[in-house]
Amino acid sequence: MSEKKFFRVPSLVTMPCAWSVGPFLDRFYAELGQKKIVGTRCPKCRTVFVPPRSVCGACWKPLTKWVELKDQGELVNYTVAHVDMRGAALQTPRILGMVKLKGGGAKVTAIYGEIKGVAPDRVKVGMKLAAVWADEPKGELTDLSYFQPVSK
Amino acid sequence: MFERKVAIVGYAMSDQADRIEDTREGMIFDTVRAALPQAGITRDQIGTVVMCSNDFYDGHTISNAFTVEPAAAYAKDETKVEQDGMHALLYAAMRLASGNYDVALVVAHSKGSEFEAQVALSAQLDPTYDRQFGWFNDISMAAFQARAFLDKKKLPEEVLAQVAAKNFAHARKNPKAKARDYSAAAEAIARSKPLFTPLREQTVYPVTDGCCVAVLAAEPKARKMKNKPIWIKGIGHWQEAYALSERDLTKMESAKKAAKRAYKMAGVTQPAAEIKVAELSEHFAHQELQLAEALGLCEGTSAAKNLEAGRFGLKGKLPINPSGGALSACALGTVGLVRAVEAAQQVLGEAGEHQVKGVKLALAHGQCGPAAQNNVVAVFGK
Repeated sequence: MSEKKFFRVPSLVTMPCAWSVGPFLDRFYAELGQKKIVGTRCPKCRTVFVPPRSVCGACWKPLTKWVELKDQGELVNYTVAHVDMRGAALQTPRILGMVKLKGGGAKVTAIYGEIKGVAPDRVKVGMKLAAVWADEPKGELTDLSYFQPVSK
Repeated sequence: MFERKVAIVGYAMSDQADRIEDTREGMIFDTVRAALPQAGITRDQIGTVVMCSNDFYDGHTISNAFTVEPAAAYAKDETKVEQDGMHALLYAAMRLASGNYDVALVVAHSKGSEFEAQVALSAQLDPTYDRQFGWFNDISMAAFQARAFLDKKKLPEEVLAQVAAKNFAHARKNPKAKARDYSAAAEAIARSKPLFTPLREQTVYPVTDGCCVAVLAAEPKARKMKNKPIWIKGIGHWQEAYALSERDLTKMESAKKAAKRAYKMAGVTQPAAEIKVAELSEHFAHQELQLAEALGLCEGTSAAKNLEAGRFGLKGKLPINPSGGALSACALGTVGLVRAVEAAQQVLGEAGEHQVKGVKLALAHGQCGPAAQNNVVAVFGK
């Protein structure tokens, strides 16, 4: 069986894009820079979207009501990553979570975040978590560094 | 309800293998060349061709510029769907039902050996937020769905390995399934390499090369062809929200609604009794259980209990994925069409070693989007 041979294909395609995040996410990221988390509420179904959306998909209503959430909440779902995004094994497993923040009422969409300060086999849905902020927030998603269990 | 009834009147499938040593065009040509005589038609009898592929999987846009010719679509009204083979089947059926054409070719293909599936699939994610999180790909997103389902139903992770073990055992009887080692039993599957908990290497689809072709015809033409027509008795298509955080991941809402529509069209009122075999696109093991529940295929409310009791095995009352399913072979974009062809073969009695006895009605399901966001369900019968 002959060895596989590869030849390079020269290509112009890198596809840089300059997507606009839109005025709603623009404000979301700016507020993260102030260590605040904001969302918008649908007047019909009362869902608070975090991050904020400009339209409620289900109700097809434009959203104008802004809500400031607390930076604490409850773990509603999680997975423990043993591999990275391309399938290579991780040295240390990482816990990825969906957190429902307080301050938005009954229906708040979960924010995504890494969970630290708890062993992977001790993670439980329902855990109370608090956000840990970057020392010098820049107005980016990384300002919300991770979540950790609320100390008792 | 369709104005004119539409049927599958022919088919062909390539091997569903971890690598097919050929170009995608060569793979398509061979498969279409097998489908036409199987259906008893020549190229000039094809009215329209609906292809299913994804530019990111093919690595270049408008890739059907090259696949048109091998697909017997030269100078024809050819179009492309970038979702799943079942969406392409639905679209082709609608083109026939409209009266504009009598015969359609549906051609779904991808070569997983030529692209990094998780990289390609991550390109569908919202760059303004989801991609910023940096931890979403097809597997990690489905992992959240698996956790939500297992927790809600209070099921142990081992049940996922049981689904995979059943489907691997079925795949051993399917000569087309060549995408992974099917010898593992549940205990070994439950110890396979963890990816994103609770999902492991062997409870997640294998990335596969493959091409699947279905020939469809509308009545009255469908009744005058070489093979017995296998009618689309009912079909439904539904989707739910894109964002994981906006969905109830325990429910498979859109699959349920798609099935409801299909059952209504088909006049099926008790699917658990009337459907004799189901081919579901279970890209991840937990999805087979969720789909079985959402599609009303269980006795009682627990798919896991049905599985344990053997109901979904080849010798059970309602075999699910006698072909081995997507867990056994998964050429992305072809999976639902493979399920449809497998379902048609079951009704025809042409499923070989994995034939289920006495099938009057068979069900096929296809999905696309993160964690089965978008679903098509069809009921096939004589």
